[in-house]
Amino acid sequence: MAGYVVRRVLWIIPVLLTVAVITFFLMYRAPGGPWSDRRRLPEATEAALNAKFGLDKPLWFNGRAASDAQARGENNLLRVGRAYLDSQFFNYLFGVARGDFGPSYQSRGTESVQSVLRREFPTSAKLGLVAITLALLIGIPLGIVGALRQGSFFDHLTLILATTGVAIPSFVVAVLAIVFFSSQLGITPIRRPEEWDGLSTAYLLPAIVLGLGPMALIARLTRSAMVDVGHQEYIRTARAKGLAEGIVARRHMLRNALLPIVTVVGPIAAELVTGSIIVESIFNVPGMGREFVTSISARDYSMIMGTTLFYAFLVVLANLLVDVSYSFLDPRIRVA
Amino acid sequence: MTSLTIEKGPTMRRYLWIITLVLVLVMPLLAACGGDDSDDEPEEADATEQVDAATPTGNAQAATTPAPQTAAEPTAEPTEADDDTDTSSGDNVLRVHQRFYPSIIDPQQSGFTEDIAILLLNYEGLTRLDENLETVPAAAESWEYNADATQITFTLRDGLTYSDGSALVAERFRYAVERTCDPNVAGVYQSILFVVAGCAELAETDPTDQAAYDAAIAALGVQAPDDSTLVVELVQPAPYFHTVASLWVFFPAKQELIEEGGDTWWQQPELQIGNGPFQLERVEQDQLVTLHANESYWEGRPALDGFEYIYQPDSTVALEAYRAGQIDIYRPDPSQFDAVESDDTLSEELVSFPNAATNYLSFNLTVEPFDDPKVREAFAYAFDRETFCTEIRSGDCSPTLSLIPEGVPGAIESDAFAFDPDAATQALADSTYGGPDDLPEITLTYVNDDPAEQPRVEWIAGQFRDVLGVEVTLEGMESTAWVETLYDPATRPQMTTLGWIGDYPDPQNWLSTLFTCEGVESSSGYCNEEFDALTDQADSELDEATRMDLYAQAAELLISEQPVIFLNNSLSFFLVKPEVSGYATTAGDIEWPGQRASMLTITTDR
Repeated sequence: MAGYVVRRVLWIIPVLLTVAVITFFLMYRAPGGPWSDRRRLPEATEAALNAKFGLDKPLWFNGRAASDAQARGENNLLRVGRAYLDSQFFNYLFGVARGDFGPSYQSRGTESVQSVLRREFPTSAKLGLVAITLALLIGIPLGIVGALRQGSFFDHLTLILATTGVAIPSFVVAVLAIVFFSSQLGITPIRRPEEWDGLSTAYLLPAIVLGLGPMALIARLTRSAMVDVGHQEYIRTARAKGLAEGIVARRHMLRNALLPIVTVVGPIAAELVTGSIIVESIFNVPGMGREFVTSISARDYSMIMGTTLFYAFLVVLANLLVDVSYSFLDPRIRVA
Repeated sequence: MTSLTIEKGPTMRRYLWIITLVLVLVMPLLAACGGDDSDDEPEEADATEQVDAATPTGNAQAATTPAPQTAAEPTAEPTEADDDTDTSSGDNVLRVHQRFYPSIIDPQQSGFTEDIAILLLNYEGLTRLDENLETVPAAAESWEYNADATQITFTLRDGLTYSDGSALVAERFRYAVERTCDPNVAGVYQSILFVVAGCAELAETDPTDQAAYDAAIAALGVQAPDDSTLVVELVQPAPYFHTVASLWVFFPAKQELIEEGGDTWWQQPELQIGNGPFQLERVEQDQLVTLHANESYWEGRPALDGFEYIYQPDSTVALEAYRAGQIDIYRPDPSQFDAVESDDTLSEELVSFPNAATNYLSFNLTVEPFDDPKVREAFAYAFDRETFCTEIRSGDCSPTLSLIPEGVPGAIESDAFAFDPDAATQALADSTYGGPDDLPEITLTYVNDDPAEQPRVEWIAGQFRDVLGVEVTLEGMESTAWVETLYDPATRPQMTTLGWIGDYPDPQNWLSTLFTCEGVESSSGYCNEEFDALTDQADSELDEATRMDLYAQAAELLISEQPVIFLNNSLSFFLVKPEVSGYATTAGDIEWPGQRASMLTITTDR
């Protein structure tokens, strides 16, 4: 078990490297740069800024610096190699290894990516955790009831709820919720910043909106997994043994049905804790969701890399946790 | 990676672990639910009712500004910067909605209107603009050019202070110029001071070469010989420079505080000690910026106790917040105009006025067919500007046929190339192509970040098809990629819509900045020596009447050449609560009505 986890953790490194290479490649395919503006910077100014942030270096490999080093009579292969890797990509990686995720160009390089994420991630994470909790708390029971009372009014209701949850985009739900709560209940549409400190009621509404889609998904998944498991031989055996229906459902059906749910919950949780631009901007949540989007149009290279790698890391981590949890849920699955 | 603690659960034998987890997570939430909702708000009802009683809102903008109410506020004055726990220290707080949060709030680095909206309250330059957009004394009580306008000497007011009471001396403004030109800072508006001797050279110095860098700073043509005198050397005659001295690049942020705070000094209000009518108090990223009245402002404190910018990117939510009385001033999105106008209350609260912004259709003059002036004329005649503004843009603009907007010095009247389908077809027939059939393929490139743009460009294409019989292909682009194409004639779109918002109200900022051979629009291939000669002469002319006359000639020349088709000037629309009074609008008020000239007088009696 421990060996398995260590191996999986080590695998995170090549996965993230691959993500980094692909993101970096795509990012630089887009025309423009962090200084693109209608009023163009004078060339000298742009060159100075590029030099300041190392954006004047080659993208991948710095062959010139390496040959310059050799021409200077540099024999130390390590130094020549370092000169060869004195490129934007590798300098970024070396920075990440040191815990420096680079400057965020949206603030003209004054604030670092890690400081932005350190400020914004906790809020997104809080909101995401509340959302996923609500989704599980409501979704799983809905699915169970739907499966146990197939074809009943309640089953249809779940289906309707679930379909609407998936079909209506979150910005519609969010805006409707705001307008409704504001005009009917007098809750102010725009929250004050201090309301997001700690874990306040302010999180409830955005969490419901954010969790609606996942809740619907979980409910449907639970239902179909329960129905599927219900047709298994061992359920018939359990019933034949004379077990009470409640125990059959809880101990034999739900436990086995949990596998597919746990499988999807991992990546969903990773997505929810990193925030959503729509829910966060509509509810004035000071989270990191917007960074995914604004960084791209601003060509905020280090922020694009930072958010992508961070998200990728959380997804990989969530999947690892999911895989590890399998062995608890289903003793037949042995990880070693 | 940042902290993400993996909770080690107990031996999770059962699915029960999920329920346990859920309970742990939800407990505090449920506990919090028990507490009363902290907002006491249901005041949207009274906001809606009050309007009918107090209607003269719409014309409040035209009202002459009442004399600055000196500190006669009955509401005590708990605001002396020392209480930062209480957010709204006085009652008279104006709450203005903003869609975008500033990228940076730094006088020498900022360039966007939302950044500048904050800086203008917190700081003040040597001069400022009044309600007629004329340049009037501010921190400087007077200024004087030398005989050929290559040097300007500002004399500061006596006893100027920052909001913390410390003395504001000429050296502070010298530092502002130095910092603007500094290659380590390299702000968006650095080049606006390249007219200062040594500024461009300093900006181009390699900052890692300490000797060269020090020499360039020493050579910068700005001196503060004593505490109340600032002398600026100019590389060429620039009789408009006193207006440039009103810009944010001149705002005297304190050197020692900038150095103390490092790169992110601008996020800390306690380091943004200013000399403007207000003083920054809270800076909450993406959410809220608050300021309080500066009691030691030289002209007396503002009528307001405080000022709040409330950020909300979604227009529906923002309108709802306005209705609920949470914000006092909101700029509706064009998509909301119909809803606002059909609402009895909101339509009464709508304030509109023209902006110093001109939109035009720009051509690449280096490629076919728009290298042919007759083809440009044909397209200019074919554009129904009136219908475009009233119907396609829901009335958020007014048609124009010239560059400088009405209300800005240097604006001229013109009726050349107004909508005329017959003249359009005639012009196309007179072109080298002889008619629509032999024209090469024409593409109109537009920015598709905002989905509302699509129907507009479709209408434009339809217009050219109906009037000229020309098929125009539409090409949408993401904004940054699009901006990048504008830099070079080789990549510049054949035809694209563009706009210009004036930085300061002087014709130089329009004609010379945009259309000279070195100007912003030069990559379209437009370069006319006669035009350059006129603007060069005007830029350095000392006699105001002669200067304006030269600019008028240049503006007429521009119209006759039609390197771009002038389409319209933007109109600002704001919803303003009836309780807000004491302001006059100018064409420079981009973020809220009264922004330029009414900071001291605007007030709310909520």
